[in-house]
Amino acid sequence: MLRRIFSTDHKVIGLQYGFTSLFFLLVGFSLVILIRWQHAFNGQALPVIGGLLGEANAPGGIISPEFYNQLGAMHGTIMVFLGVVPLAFGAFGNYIVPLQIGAPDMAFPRLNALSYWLYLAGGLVMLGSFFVPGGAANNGWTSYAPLSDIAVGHGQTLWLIGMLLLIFSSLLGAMNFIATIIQLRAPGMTWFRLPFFVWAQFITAFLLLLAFPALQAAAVLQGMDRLAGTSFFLPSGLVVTGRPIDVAGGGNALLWQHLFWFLGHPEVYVLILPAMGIIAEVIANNTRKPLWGYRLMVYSIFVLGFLSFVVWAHHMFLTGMGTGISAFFQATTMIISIPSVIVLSSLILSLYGGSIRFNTPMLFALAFMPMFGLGGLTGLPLGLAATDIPLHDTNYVVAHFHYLVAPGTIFALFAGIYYWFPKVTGRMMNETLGRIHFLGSLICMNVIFLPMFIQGLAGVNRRLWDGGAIYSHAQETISLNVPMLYAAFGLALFQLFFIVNLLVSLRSGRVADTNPWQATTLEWAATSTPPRAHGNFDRPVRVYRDPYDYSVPGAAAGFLPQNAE
Amino acid sequence: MEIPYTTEVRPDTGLTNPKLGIWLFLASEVMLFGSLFSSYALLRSGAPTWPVQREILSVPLASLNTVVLIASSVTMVMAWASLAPHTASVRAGNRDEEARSLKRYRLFMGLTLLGGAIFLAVKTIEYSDKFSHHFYPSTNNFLALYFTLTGLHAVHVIVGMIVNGYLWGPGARMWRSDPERFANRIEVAGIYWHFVDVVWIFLFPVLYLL
Amino acid sequence: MAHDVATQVRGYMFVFGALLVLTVTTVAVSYLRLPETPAVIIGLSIALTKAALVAMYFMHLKGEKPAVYWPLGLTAFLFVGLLVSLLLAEGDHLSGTQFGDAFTNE
Repeated sequence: MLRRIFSTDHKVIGLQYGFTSLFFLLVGFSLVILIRWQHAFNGQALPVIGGLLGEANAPGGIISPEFYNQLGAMHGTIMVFLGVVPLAFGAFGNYIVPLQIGAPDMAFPRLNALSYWLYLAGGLVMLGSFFVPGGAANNGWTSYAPLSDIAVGHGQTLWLIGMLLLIFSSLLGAMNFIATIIQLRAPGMTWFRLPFFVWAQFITAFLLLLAFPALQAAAVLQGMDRLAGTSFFLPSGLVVTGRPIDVAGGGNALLWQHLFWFLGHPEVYVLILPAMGIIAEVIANNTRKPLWGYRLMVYSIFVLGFLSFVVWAHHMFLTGMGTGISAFFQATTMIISIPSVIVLSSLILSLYGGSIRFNTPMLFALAFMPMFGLGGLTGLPLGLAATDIPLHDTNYVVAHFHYLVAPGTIFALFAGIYYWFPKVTGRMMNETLGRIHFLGSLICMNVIFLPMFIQGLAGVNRRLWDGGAIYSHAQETISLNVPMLYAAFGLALFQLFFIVNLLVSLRSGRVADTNPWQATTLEWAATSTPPRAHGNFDRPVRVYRDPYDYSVPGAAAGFLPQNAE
Repeated sequence: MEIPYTTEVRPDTGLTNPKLGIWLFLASEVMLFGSLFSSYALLRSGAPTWPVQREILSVPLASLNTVVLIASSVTMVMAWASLAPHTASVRAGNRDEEARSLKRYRLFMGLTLLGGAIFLAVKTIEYSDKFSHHFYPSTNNFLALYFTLTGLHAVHVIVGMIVNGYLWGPGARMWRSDPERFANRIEVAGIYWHFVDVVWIFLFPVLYLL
Repeated sequence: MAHDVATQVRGYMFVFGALLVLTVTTVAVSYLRLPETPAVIIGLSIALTKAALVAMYFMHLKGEKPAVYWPLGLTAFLFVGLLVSLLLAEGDHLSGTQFGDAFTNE
């Protein structure tokens, strides 16, 4: 029994990551519903749940500003670090990559298991921080110094400890993925026969490997500030509530920002690359033709990955940097939009001339493209310092990145779940429930996030407890908070269709054969369903073909799997 | 179930998985210590005044530690060199050669462990000397950086010693059962240990001499 | 085989000797109390040389494969990039030089 819990099989570990991350996504989502309420009905008691939150967090059922800050910081932290990345990289990556390259497992199976348990430990520390005196971290998911340095209570310190555990987990995972993809490709699986999904995970792993240590360093330094009285991020003469704090001083609060965003920017590409990988697989499969510009897309994500390391200070345009440095980061930020557009355009062009099948995964994939496009385009004014000045730290920014992550990455993750569910379980998910889930989520997400652009343009700051009610000049936009709340309720409701679909299909979904989507890639073509526990493949795998040999004239089933001679 | 290329090299890359893996891990460690060194550079260059480091810290003790750690790197690579040429014979069952090479290996690995222990002992002396003079991380940014950087480095030394200790002791059983794999393990553990030495090679001048 | 090992071991001893010499040199130079800029350049150059010797010979990086060189090269580039951009963006003492005006907001 213990052997199964602490399994070193990448498929088991992938599922462990999957279930854990879905749980954390639910937690993160629940936190933000509370935020939406507080914005819509500023200062009003929250029925039922308000009482459950306790007097410390919600006196009289009204969410307190301090608790609100915890909700904000932890929503971001949980969604990014405990939800989306573990699902996109840890779950999908672990389960699918070895199968798609024809490998029996990851290069380091025991390290792989360790990665999962470190992730779980970090997640439990983060969740546990809500229950310590003073509550969870409440300094934004970005934990800017000096506020985070001096924050009272253990919440912020637990955030640091949680992050260190998560980072260590990610570093080991990244190392594992890179070594696996380089070393364990089956005979015949040359680099340009790799499915685009594998390329995307490969680049993602490099981003995690080389960017996360900067946040590790920053967390250690902040830990020293909080626990050992150092002043890495505390400038001299800092006054808190009327009294100068008793530290040596001489620190630099911007050092935290640089180190954080050195990770933070590559992190957002970690959020989007696996999603692009999933979408590419789903589109190729459901257009019955090869991806348009496959090689171009591969080169583009190399460039994207590299550039992602040199744009970070575009999160810091308002910190007083000089014009030279500012110009540098504006330039790199503009340039990085090029490979993104190339990838998006290639995906769109892949539709042209295709025999499109509109199943649930494909619906999510089709919606991904314009949503990602909108998210990306709205980033342009943020990437130019002059236009960033009025938009920085407003709801415009919140809308921009949520378009990329919510109807962007999360839609891709849904597509992936509907797509690969039959391989993992041998059953199909229900199409009708899937379509309802899709359409409801698409509409609700847009109703939630589109008005945020309007609020941001009107000057409403992010992270405000009252949702902007204090801004007399933006009052018409504040009323938008109410429909946004109802859309959030709607979004929650439509996820029920997904959850029910998942659970019911597990037991009584339509039975699927080993390749119900008639796909060409190895995880469909060369393994049983589910793939066998030790070694994945009944016979040694040899690869003869490109990843997307669909609609080949003369081919028996209209497509040629990669291992067909 | 065997993972391919754990011990044999993959022909087109010329690497074993552990060899590639340790270098990837060290890449992330370079970024970790690199971020900390960068923080040092920023905080020092932005400071109006900075203590004269060599007057607060003991250059002689640190010089000793530098030599000790370099020597332990030599003994570590000698430990590997004691094993690597004999893997074929041991695989073929030559018990004499197995015993002799194991003895040589244990000698050098033991010296490596000794070097690590001396290093940590000297560091302990340094730290307690600082504390007894009321020099704490909170005293100023230089000391904060000193304790943080050398502290994190010491944690890496300790981890290395735990791994090396295991490989000296119970882990050495693999010399008989899978000699090539064991020799590779010593090489990989060595690469990690040498990295710890390299970090100190930079810490020494940056924190003590400049 | 034994000859190869002997050659290898001689090589390691040479490197050890070189490392000791460089260590003594760097300590000796520090006693000269040079001004900051030459002291930093000399100190870091010696450290870099020592590190390169350890990496090339003890860590067997000499003659390693491309799959190792490329990630390390990228890492080195990123580390230097971080160090340099941090100093350019925030290193206040750089203002006052002819390039300083572009890089600080004073």
